[in-house]
Amino acid sequence: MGVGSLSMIVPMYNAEVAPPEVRGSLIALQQLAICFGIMISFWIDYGCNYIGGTGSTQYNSAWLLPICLQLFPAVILFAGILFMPFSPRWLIHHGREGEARKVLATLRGLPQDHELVELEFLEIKAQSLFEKRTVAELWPNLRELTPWNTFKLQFVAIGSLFRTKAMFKRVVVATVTMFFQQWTGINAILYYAPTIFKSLGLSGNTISLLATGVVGIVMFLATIPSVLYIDKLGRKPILTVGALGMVSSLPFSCSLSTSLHRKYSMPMY
Amino acid sequence: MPAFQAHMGDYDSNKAADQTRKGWLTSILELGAWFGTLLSGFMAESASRKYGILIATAVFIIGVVIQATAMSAGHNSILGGRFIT
Repeated sequence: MGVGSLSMIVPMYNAEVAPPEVRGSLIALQQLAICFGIMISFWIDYGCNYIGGTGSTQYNSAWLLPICLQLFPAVILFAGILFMPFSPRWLIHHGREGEARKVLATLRGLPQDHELVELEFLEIKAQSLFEKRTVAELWPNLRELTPWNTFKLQFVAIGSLFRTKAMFKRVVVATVTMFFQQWTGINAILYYAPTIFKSLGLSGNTISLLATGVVGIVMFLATIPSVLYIDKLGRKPILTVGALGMVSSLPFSCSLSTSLHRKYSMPMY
Repeated sequence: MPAFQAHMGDYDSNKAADQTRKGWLTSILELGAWFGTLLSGFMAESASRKYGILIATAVFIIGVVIQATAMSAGHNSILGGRFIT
């Protein structure tokens, strides 16, 4: 639950606080940070596997320590966010415009009456007004910004995505991209990497963990180009290149695992 | 992992039923994340992004603590802890 909420709210906050010209890079940077975290966690797990030896003398800390280490970045985020400003977009949407102007000026390092601050303020304000008017027009009974209304609005807003054809088309594009991105099975490969590598004939816990560690490094390296180029080349070419990479590597890993399965006659999981 | 097997043996062996349990142990995190995602829009809007992040981090920390106490509290605690995390 915590991870799910954080993975939604943090990019939202990032995007709303960041200046428009680096927004794309920043989201890609978050992805890079996730890959970096996964890489680090794989190597921590690999190292902790040796606490007390890999046999029956292994200490409980071999698996408890990695669990507890998760607390470390969480505590930093918890303390750090206390010192961060509110999102200007949220402030404007909730009628706290004076504060929003102040936060924007601080974030951009400009005086409050600077032209650029004013421009961005008005841009956000226009968007917020548009949103509010749309809500008032479509669902007049939900126009007030109470928590319960916000909760209900989430669900009726989902309904509106399917009413018009133009909206539906956008929904299809977004869902289908995300659907197939998940459907490549990347998460299954990541979570079950040790099991998969074991079934490929690599022996021993340690070798499988090592293979997982290498997966982590490859993932981290593969994310770097997208961080560097997403704002320069645009989103679509990068997505296409990534998809092509997936297309070319999946048959490879598929045939490799099938042929090795036969060779070592390992049970299929 | 022998040390993990000693405490959570039912979740980490080569028996088919245990593999299913291991699958649950792995994927229950995603199930919790799905639930958290549903709540996140509401939290980000009514509590503000800033306090939304604060609440979510607190939930995460509680989840980790529950996981870490699984040794004395038993199997369900690690499942519940992963769900909340």
